Amino acid sequence: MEATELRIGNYVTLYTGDTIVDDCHQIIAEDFNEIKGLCLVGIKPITLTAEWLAKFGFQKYKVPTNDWMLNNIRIFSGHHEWWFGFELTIVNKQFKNEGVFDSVRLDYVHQLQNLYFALTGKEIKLKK
Amino acid sequence: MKASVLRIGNYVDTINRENKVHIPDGLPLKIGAIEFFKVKLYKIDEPFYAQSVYIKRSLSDIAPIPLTEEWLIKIGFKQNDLIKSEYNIGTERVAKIDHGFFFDRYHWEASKRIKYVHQLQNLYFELTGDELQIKETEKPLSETNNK
Repeated sequence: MEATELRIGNYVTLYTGDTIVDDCHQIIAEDFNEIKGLCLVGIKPITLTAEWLAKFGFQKYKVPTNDWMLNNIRIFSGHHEWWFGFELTIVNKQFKNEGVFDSVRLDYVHQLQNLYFALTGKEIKLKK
Repeated sequence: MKASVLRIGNYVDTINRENKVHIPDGLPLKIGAIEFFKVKLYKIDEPFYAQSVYIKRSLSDIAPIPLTEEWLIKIGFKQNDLIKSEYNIGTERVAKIDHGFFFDRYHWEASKRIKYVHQLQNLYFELTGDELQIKETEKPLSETNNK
């Protein structure tokens, strides 16, 4: 995958050839040494799943839906994909107006991590 | 700066340590690689494939670039003809409100404050998959024709 997509701390799958070495690898500075062009060798994104949402501490929002919530972030489930929503209920210096940021499709774990960070300035962490 | 806030392609400033007062020198560069406690920095207007000359700086010697109207134009936003305090790319918008910049996009009810250029680059990339970047220097026509 492209190095420009990633930040240090992102979760990815680490490969040697076709063999998975680590299916929950967290990007470190050394990983950027393995760049060919802008492509990171031996690294693939992790598909976002309900299990990963639970690992991050998201909880099921309402029983009839498959939506998940963590703080102000709501993840809506589509047919075969996830959609990101940011439901702003407390206005602080970082935001203007109350309301919903929505309609961002998420395919991978690192996208969720990076979008969460870009909006909140905080890292989303694995639940202990 | 913390390495974890950066992506390759982000624009940052370097801090001049030669003077008594250590402040950013106002010469923006582009992150080309992230290493242990250091980054490789390239000229901002060259494509990655053309870059052979770089400088290495410690993470403590680089600084975020404050977002300004000039930077919004540089990275591709266009000033709104009717509302001069707004800048747009497609459905994405940055508005200057009370000395701060706020980002939103079509259908959003709220907007996110943006202080630095790299923050806008990263949020825009996550939302659209496209990079906000300064137009790269193209080869002069005469050089291309001679080949």
